[in-house]
Amino acid sequence: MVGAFEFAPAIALLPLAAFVVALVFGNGMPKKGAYAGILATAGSLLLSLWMLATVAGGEVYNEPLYDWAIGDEITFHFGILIDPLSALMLVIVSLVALLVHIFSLGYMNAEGETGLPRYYAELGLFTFSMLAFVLADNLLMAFMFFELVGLCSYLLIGFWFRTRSAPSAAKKAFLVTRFGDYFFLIGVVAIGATFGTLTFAGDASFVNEAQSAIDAGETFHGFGAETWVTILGLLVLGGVIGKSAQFPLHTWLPDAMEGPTTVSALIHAATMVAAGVYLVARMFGFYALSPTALAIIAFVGGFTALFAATMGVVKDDIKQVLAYSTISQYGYMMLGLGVGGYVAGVFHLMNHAFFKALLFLGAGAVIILMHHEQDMWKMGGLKDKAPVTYYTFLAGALALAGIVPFSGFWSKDEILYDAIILGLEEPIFLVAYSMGLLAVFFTGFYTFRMVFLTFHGKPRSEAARDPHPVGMNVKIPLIVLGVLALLAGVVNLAPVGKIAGMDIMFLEYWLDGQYTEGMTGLTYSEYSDTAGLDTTYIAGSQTITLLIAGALALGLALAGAIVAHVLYNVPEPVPHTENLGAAREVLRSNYYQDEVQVWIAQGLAMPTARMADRFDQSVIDGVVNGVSSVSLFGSGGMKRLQTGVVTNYAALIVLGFIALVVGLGVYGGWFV
Amino acid sequence: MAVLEMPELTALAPPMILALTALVLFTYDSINPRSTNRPVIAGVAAVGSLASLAVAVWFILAGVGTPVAEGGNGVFDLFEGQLIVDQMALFFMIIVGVVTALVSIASYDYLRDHAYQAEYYSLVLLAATGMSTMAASNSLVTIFISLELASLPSFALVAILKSNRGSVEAGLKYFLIGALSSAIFVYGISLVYGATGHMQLDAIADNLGAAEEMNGLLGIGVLMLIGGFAYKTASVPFHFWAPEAYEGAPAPIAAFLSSASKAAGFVIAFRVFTTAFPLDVMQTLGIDWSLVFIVLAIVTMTVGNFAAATQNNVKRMLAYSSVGHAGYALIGLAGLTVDGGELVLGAAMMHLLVYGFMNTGAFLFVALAEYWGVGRTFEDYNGLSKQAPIACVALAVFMFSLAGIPPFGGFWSKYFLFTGALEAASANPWLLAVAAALVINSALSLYYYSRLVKAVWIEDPVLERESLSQPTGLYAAIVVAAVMTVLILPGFGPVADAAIGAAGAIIP
Amino acid sequence: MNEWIAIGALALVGLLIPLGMMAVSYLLRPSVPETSKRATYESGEIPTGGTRIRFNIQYYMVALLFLVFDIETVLLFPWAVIYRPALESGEVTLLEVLGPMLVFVAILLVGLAWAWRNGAVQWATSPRQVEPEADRP
Repeated sequence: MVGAFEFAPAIALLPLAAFVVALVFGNGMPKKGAYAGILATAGSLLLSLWMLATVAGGEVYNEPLYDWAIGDEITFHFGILIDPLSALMLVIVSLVALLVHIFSLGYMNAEGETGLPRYYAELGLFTFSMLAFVLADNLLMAFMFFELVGLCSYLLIGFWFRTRSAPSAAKKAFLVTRFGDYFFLIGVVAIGATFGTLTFAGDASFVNEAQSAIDAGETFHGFGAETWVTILGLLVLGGVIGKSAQFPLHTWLPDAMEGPTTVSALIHAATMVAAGVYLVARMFGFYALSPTALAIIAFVGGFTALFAATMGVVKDDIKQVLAYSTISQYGYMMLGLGVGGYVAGVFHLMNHAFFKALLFLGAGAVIILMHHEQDMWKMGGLKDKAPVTYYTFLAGALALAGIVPFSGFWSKDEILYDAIILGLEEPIFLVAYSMGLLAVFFTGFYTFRMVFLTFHGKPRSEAARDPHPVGMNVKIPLIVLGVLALLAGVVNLAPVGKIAGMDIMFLEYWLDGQYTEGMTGLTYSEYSDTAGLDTTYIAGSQTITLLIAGALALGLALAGAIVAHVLYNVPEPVPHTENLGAAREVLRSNYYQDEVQVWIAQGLAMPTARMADRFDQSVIDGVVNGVSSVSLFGSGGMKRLQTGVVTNYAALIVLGFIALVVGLGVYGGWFV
Repeated sequence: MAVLEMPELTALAPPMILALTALVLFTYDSINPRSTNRPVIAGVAAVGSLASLAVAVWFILAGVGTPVAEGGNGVFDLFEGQLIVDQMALFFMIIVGVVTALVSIASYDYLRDHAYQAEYYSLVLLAATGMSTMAASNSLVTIFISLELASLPSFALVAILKSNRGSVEAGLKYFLIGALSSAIFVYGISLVYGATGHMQLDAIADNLGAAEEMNGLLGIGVLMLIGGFAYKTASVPFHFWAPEAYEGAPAPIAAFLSSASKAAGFVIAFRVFTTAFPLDVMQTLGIDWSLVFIVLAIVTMTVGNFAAATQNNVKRMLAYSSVGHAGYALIGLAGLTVDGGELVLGAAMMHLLVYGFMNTGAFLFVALAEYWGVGRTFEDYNGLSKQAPIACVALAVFMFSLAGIPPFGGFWSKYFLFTGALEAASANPWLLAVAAALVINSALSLYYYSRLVKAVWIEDPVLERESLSQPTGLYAAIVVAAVMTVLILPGFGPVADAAIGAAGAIIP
Repeated sequence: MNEWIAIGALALVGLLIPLGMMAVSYLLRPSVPETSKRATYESGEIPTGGTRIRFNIQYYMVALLFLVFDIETVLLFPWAVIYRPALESGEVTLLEVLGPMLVFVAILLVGLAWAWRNGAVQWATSPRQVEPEADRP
């Protein structure tokens, strides 16, 4: 029987085919290869939906496809793992990719860009890499496609490679994420070497091996099993922090705005940045074994959420605001996962994919309207001239700020709820929670500051008075995503369900494997059992805790929105950032993070590299050159032995022979 | 198998075919003195050597030389153990046959204006007969006779360009050193006979116990035998003849001497030291000959490679490289230990087989250059690839294979030598030094081999050259040698099995 | 003590005796320098010509040919001695006894024939013999 899963590889291979087609034939095709990409991603979406339906029907799929290196100790293979998590992620990725492709028709083709075949080819490769990454059933395969995703982001961020800033931003993104990936690679090798397997799921997965190693109390390299698992988890986390732009490796992401806005939508909503968080979710069973690793994840997430949100407050460029909001929102997801809220983290990942894609595409539409002007101070008053863009953007903004009933509220609320019930037990989680909570206020503020500056008030420039019209291929993706941003929260109305006692937490049941059979080791409840984190409720009541947490989050978000409304929803808004005084410079300079990294590179890495170079030049090269001079000198000596006079030869032969006789004779004791 | 019913003497068919061909050529020349009918003469020589090769290959495939217990047709023991036809003998008969055939074919063009056609080929075949018989010799007497049968025609062959001063001088030097070495060798035989009372190798081994009182005498005798082998294989310190003889000799003869003659020298060394002087007994007598071979191997490869590094004359460079390769092959004896060493000995045999192709090919390329008259130094070879791309591809194959670069046969044999030496190092730590010397010298050798490739392919010619002719015989021999150097890679499994099997059969 | 010491002592004595004799005679002899003592042959014979004369190659050729027959004879003698007893013992056939020697002689004959045909036995003709009258007045 040919099951749905037989077609699973095609999900990833269709965009790969689009990549080849666009690359080879793109120039001769209508729309320069866009249709190939649209068809391929549409096909991927359909297949993904089929997978989703099949998984919902109760099946999971975990099969190796091809062994490419077979060793005694370990075998490397390509394989496919489709469980509720990856099926969900497949749908998200292929949906966003499809919408981005469609939107590109308006954003790229209609604007008369050059190099479009290259653009669509890279887009196809990007989608392929991400889908293959999602499908991966083992860590090494995941790593390979993780790297490919990084490569594609480099290519796409540097799409306008003739400008000065784009190549530099592309290099920065590549190098910073690569820095994290070093740790990831070491982690992959260490996990493979420790457990002899790299598969995520199944009986022989490294998660199971780690579990049994901890149960058996084994030690590795002088560390206890749990400490060792923590170390391995943190090494892999290095790659996650790089890709998902967590502190301190977040600096590449704002610069990555140099790429086309469609690419930003794809990178931030569904592919590259999501890859990091997805990896943590994928390996959640492994992290659940180590409370220390979880605490670090939660703390980094909470800190990043707040840290990035404060920087978003002072940005003038619409895409920069969105960039910092992305960092901040991924911080929430990490916080959610770190506090054991596997469902909450994935839920927010999904919601964020929709509303952030929406916001970026909306920003793209604004940029089209504004004749490629991105400074919000030159906008204003677009509300009436572009209603579709405005209302969809507003939906995205409400979701981002976390206002009831938009999707973002439900997931963010769940994350914060999961954090507080842990935080009441453990101070470190409480700190992480308070940072996340505080960030809600800033999120609400900068989101609505952006909305008001862009759409409200009076037009502040010529372009804003006479915007460029946008076509249907721009509006359709916006509408689709706007609806999703509004409604996606329905899949897991946890607070409502818990308070009202209704069974409407569909996502939780989904991720808990309640719709599937025979799924072991990959369910929410098992993760929770493994992590075994203690929780406490305020006043001992779940309902009260839920209500307090929800009210706090919503109140702070609304407060932020109201402050923005007061300050900026006026006909002639003025920058109020001067009032911040000294803090303004710090915020504008992004806490001098770039400077710190440059100092690390120039002040520490460069001298070390120079010393290594000097060592290489003098000692290593000296030895090499010395060897060759000695060889050539020795060669001259050897040549001189051959005098050409045959009597000399005879003498040398006899002398050599006598030397042998004496040598061996003394050694062998013949003369004794 | 039909072989079983034939008289035992037929086991010696490969050398006998060679001898018969030589006699046919002599008869032809007696009837028809000074004949320059090159097609007939070279054709007879080529057919004879190919027939010898074919018979040897057929024998080894048919299981001649493999003990009956292992499913073969049995080891042939002739004249009460004076001659023996086992796997190793056949393996080396094949090497000799290959080289003789290649040299015969290549000489067709090389000797186009030469006066002594029939003499040349019959001397080549007589020397080949001697080498082929060396492979089967199992007694010091037969070893000496066959060694002289191989040597004497070689002296004449080196000096056969009578009007060329270099050739005559080289021949004379070769002869003088040869005489000295033969004297030392014969003296060694007499000492060994004096100590043990036997010439037949197995009998010597049986009577070593009687030599306990005379271990000094026996030791000097053994060392003198080593001297004789070192001369034949061009190993230090008996290598002095090699650079001059190879440089002065006609290039095909240099190819013949450096490949076949060397291989024949090694086969008798392998046989004498594994059969007549088992290491465990000799060590109790205080004659640890493996130590001598360790020293000789290291010194030989170092001297050969270092001296080759800065040569300007291509032929002389190849001559020294041939000395260096003798050092590699000596590892086969150096790596023998009391309880094993098939791998390293087999590796040495493989190396000699691969060397038979690649080194012969390299010298034949020099023959081609001499045929064109382009000159002798590296500079003279500059830019030859523009006129003769096929031959230059072959040359690159030979050079990289000689240097031991992976895709070619030379890599595998060197690799086996290296691993074999490392394996044996557990029993004898000195072999680590041998392995290190092998690596260092290989690295150095890449320098001068690639210099030649660079000259041919990258450099621009110093002088404008006219287009070069493409002599059929030389080209055919070079291309065949190159193809075999490459093809031996997929065929290396069987070759390695054959060599290691042959080595295992003679190690007691 | 081992026997090699005796050998070493013998070598030492062997060196010391001639050196000692030369030293003693140096001390005892009177010194009478005279030119005739520097001549090659003190007997008074006057040397003629240089030491590097060329011999005719034909001497060498004849020597080689002699070697052919010499070796043949060396092998024929022992063979002839055992020929009849071997046949009479009945353990070997006529072919086995006679065959190898016939082959051996045949091979030598090929060599002889080749040498003959290539002029090895053609006694050399020096210019004086070719044109005996030309040089004479």
